[in-house]
Amino acid sequence: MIESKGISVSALGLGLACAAMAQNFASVGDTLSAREQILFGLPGAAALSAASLLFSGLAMRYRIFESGTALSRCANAAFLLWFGAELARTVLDAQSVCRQQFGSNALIGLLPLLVLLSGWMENHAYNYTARILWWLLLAAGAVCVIGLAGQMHWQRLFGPETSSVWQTPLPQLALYPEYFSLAFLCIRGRERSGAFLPFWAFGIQAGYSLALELVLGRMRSPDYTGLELLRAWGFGFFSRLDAVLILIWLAIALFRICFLCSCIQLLWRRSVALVPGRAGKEGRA
Amino acid sequence: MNRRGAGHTVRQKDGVAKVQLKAQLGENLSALDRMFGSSADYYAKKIRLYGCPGAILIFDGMASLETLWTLLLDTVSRESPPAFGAPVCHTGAEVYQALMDRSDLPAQNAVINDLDTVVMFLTAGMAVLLLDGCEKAIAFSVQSMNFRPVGEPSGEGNLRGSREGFTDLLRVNLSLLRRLIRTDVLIMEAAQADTQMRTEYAICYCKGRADPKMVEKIRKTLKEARPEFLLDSSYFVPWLLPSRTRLFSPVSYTERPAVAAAKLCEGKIVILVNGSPSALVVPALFAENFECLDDYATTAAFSSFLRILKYVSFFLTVFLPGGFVCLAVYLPELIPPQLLYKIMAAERATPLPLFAEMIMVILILEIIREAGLRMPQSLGHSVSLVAALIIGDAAIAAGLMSTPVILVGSITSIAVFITPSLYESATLLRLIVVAAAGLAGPVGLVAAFLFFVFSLSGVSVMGVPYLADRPFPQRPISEDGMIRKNYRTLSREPFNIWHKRRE
Repeated sequence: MIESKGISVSALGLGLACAAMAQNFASVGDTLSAREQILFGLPGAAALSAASLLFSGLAMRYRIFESGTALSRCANAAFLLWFGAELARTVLDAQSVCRQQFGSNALIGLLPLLVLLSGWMENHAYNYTARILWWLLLAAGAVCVIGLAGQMHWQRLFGPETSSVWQTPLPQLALYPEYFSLAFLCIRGRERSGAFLPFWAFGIQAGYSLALELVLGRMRSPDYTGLELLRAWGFGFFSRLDAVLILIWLAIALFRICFLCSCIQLLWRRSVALVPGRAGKEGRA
Repeated sequence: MNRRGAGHTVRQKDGVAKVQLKAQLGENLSALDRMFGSSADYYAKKIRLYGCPGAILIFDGMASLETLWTLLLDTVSRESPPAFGAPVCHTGAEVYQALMDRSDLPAQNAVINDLDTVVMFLTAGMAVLLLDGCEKAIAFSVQSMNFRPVGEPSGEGNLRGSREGFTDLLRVNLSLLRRLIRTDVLIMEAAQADTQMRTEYAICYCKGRADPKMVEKIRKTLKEARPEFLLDSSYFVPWLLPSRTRLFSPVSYTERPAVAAAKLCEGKIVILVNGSPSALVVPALFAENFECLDDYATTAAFSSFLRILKYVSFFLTVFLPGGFVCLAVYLPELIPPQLLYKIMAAERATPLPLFAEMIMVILILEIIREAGLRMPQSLGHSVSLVAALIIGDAAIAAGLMSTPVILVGSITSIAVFITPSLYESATLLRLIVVAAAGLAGPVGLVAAFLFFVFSLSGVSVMGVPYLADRPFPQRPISEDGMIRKNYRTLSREPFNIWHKRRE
């Protein structure tokens, strides 16, 4: 009897992997080096992880999302907005990749279908789908690494720095609502491992930056984006299989859109149920 | 047939009206005559047993008159003096008691005191003895039905293992299972479905391995099911899996008693229906579509290789045509130039767009497959020849279709037969994927893929998800899934569908 009572950590992590990769694809040159990203990103991830653990602990102890108090209503409303903003960002990221890479606006037509699909999905379906997509992502990543292996040179990591480490701007920490929603999203008992999600996002972001710098060196021009790494891919006659990784990323982005829609629906239902006078009606319904 | 009109008592039992047998033999015979008198196979013969008038009832061709005479009448004649001291006339009740309690005759133990039960035994091929002055009947197991012999099922080929397949008779099928599971754990509950034909079915499970709650649930569901006809175990599926539309059904079918026995030992529930050799197994996992008996007869490495091949074939059959359309139309830069030139040259010679061409090829291949399946076997070769000539040669020569499209369509059609149990879902999904990829390009292809994964992930029956429960980072690989471990290792912890292999 294996019915899941919540979202698995790997399903939450998959959404974050999508967001982190989108950030990498869109990252422009002349920002931080891979070294700086790793140096500053790791403590940032640790701080986020601690904050996530603390918040989920507090949320469960004081039942912040369920108690029906003013605080609870505010928390639900705040997270509803945050998830909404994240949904908008994911849709924009996916649409921009679709337009740039495939010259297609089909995603706009698909959005209503995805929203409908999210209403039909159950937790365990997200968990199993995430597992399949993780495998695909790993396979596509491996194919990309194999295709780029010949072009990677470690000397490129040690190019001249423009300024001292202490003068470089701090990297912006990417905050995702999943970090702080473990109390009501995650499978019971898995909140602790869920708190390590910032490290998942950091790992993907740092790994991508490292590969980018190993292949292309430090990009100095803002005209170049992170997608240049995938364009460098080549294997004999095949030269554009990077599109496979982008297609898989797109599948993950659509997964994240469905997942965020489900979260919004869940929060909306909770918000409505917590409004005094409505709870009774909802209960009777 | 108006059984109430026959003047018999109507007794309510479990909410179902039952027409009770009368003490007068004549009235019982009249009632049965009204029901079956006009049927050519209905046979009723009046006899006298120990001086008591009685009647033997059978359906011709289902029960053996010879056995009946040897078993019952001859024995009764010979045993007449020991059963009663003197040759005097006895009442029906006395004869009933004597036959049931004091004779060696192998009569059925069931108490038959209503017409429905009489009909149930008669239609099961048994002989029923009615006695004057007794409100009960006796049934004798003298079945002699002709049935298809136990042969190898054509749909489930195997190199090793048992060659036996289920036949059409439920009782024979149950005996095949009993022969394989020779312990008291195997329970086989037979019942009659509430259909026009009153078809018999059996729920088989292993006590202590199947979840009792789920067995009870299935028992209740099948009892309450009201199919118009019940010609196969699959007719029960809409009752077992109600509501939502689904692309994948978490049930499986087998015609092999060996497979059914193995599933029973895994805690699954097998449903057999009289008149069908196909056993319904519930619940089923997606991975089981890629497994067969041969897997366990070969080495773990080779069977894992074959399973991976089967998975690849399934994904090819679903995604190859859609992927080909998407690549050739929307992402030609992904195809190596040498191949791309050939595809483009072939496409230039055809009037239809690639997308429409692919849909057409898929539909034509489906038509050929359906024709080959339904037509008399003697014509099958002619159809294959005509199809090969027309589709393979004439269509290309006429410039209606291009060679790459036909090649892709053919690979797809052959690949689906590696997993025949997924044929329906694979065919529908293939068309969805081609349509999505043709209309919306890569985004459509990805959306169709996600829809496929969601529809696979969302399916569950009785709390058991269709996809095995393997949390990704912790336990990514199953012991007996896409790849399998050594059979000795697997046997250490027998698999049960209701429990995880390893907690």
